[in-house]
Amino acid sequence: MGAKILVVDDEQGIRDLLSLELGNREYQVATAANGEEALKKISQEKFHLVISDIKMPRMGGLEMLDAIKKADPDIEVIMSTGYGTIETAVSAMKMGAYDFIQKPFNLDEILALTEKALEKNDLKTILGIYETSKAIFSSVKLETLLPIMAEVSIRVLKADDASIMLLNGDGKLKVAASMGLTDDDRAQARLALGERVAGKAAESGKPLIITGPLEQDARFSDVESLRDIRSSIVFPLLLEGQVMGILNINRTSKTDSFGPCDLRHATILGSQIAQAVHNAKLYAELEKKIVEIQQMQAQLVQTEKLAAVGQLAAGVAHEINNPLTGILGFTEIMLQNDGLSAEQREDLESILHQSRRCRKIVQNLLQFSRRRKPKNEPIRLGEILDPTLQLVQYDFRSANISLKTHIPEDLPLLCVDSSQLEQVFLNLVTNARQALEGRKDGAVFINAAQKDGRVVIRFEDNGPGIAPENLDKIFDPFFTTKPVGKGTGLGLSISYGIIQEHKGSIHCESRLGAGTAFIIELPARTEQAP
Amino acid sequence: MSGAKKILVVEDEAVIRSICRRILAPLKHDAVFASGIREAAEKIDSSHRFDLLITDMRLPDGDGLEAISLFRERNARAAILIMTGSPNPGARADRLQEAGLDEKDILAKPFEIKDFESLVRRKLEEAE
Repeated sequence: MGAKILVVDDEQGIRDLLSLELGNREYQVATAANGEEALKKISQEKFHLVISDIKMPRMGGLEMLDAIKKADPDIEVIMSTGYGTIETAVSAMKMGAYDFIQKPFNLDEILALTEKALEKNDLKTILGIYETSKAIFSSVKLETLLPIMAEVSIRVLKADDASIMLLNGDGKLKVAASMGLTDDDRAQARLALGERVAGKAAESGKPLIITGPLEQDARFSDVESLRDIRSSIVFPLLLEGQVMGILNINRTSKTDSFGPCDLRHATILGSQIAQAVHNAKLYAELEKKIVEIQQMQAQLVQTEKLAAVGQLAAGVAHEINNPLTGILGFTEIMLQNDGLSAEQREDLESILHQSRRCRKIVQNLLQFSRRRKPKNEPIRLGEILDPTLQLVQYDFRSANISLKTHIPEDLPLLCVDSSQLEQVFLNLVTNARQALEGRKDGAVFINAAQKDGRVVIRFEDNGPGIAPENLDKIFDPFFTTKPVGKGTGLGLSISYGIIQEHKGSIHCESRLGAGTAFIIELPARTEQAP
Repeated sequence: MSGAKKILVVEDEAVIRSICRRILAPLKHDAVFASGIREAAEKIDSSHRFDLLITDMRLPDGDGLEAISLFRERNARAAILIMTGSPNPGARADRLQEAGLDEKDILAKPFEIKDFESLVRRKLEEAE
């Protein structure tokens, strides 16, 4: 369907002529004899273009133009005049007319102008929207998206600078992207502007045009670097009634102020930006959830692994214990014989030693399979950690390894099975001790902190670190890199199981050559808990 | 300790029975051996009185706790010592408690001779 054009002229002849000619070219044409009549028609239906005489009875062209631009800035207006001076034409252009044409006009000229005006009317907004939409789909990362949006805002609104400010977690406005601002001072000043009017804009949910110079405005007179602003739009970025931030667009060099037409375009841009921010936030949340699910999955796999090995271990352990009782018992009985040669005694001692080693392995296996429900005693972390460290203190000192702890006084109580946790802590410090074997500057640092209702305990050493390819295997049962006889590969699996039973988590951060840290998180005791 | 004591050992593995016999012999106690519940019942019926029962938990014809209750019918004041290679003492804590026993009455297999000896000595002293 063709565009709708309103022809306004007090001369019947011109109205008829243009109606006929434009109508022949697929346009829908309506007519009015003066400004008043024209405004009435515009209020009733949407027109894309008005071709109007300047001098008319009742309401003249300029007065009408002003009213049209206020009512619907997207309507293009071509003024025609038979006697007009350049001054009248210029003031018409200033008021937002698309162009003007002198009477008596050449029909071809007016048709060409009509076509161009309609094209512009359409393209102008579509282009801006197209650019922003394109940007929205180009990325879900705000770091990429927002600068593009700011740039498009400048272009569409013929502005000199644009900033997008977003509310962060604690409700403070922060500049997320800005364009056209070379120095930081000016960017910060835009933030001050945003902060000062954000509340107001947010409250009304409506955009704000501030016409400069700003030093005369009491709200901004104290901000030095805002003085260059001649005209400013502050647009609240809303989504479902919630303010997410502010789009601020400024003109500093151009003399003309932002008008209602610009505000409309800012509205379109603003809603697109708000949507993009919302999308990006949703995407980030989704990403976080995926990571959570992956972690949970990994944890489940680990738990399954532990359970399967535990079951197997329990069965094997019982089968081995009886024959081992025989070996150990008879070896001891033989050793009670006084008539043994030194060599025989030595050999028997060796059997004894090896069977004890077997027994230790079986015991570890059993402990592993024993998924005892932990007790829940309220206790201070220090009460568990201190006795554990006392056990290794002598060994650390004689190996010249420094052992430092930092436990804040106000650390909340834990609600745990202290003997099980002692076992975990002992396992971690023993591992660290073994990793630091033979080093001159070996150090182990244990510190604790509270975070979101949890107690975080970090065991850190400056040992050789864990090879990246081993990092995801260290909690697997029987995985060990220690020399034969030095470890069964169950310590960390058992620790993992214990921490999990306590509804906590344990993970490892390590870099080759830099050291290793094990981080345990346990729920802090809540006030309501007994 | 007043003189030789009478001890019943219930254990299905011949090797372990034999070890027990070797450990107990120098202590000069009167040890009687059974390889299961049925045999234990026979020994309990045919003897006057025992001072101590040492029993395995897993037996081919039942479980150690059955042996204990049979034993107690005739030897109410005797001491009990459980000898086991079973992995999970925690899981049967309730049943032990019902029998008036706890973790301290358990000797884990494989054991060292000195642990066996000292536990037997303690048990016999308790039973006096």
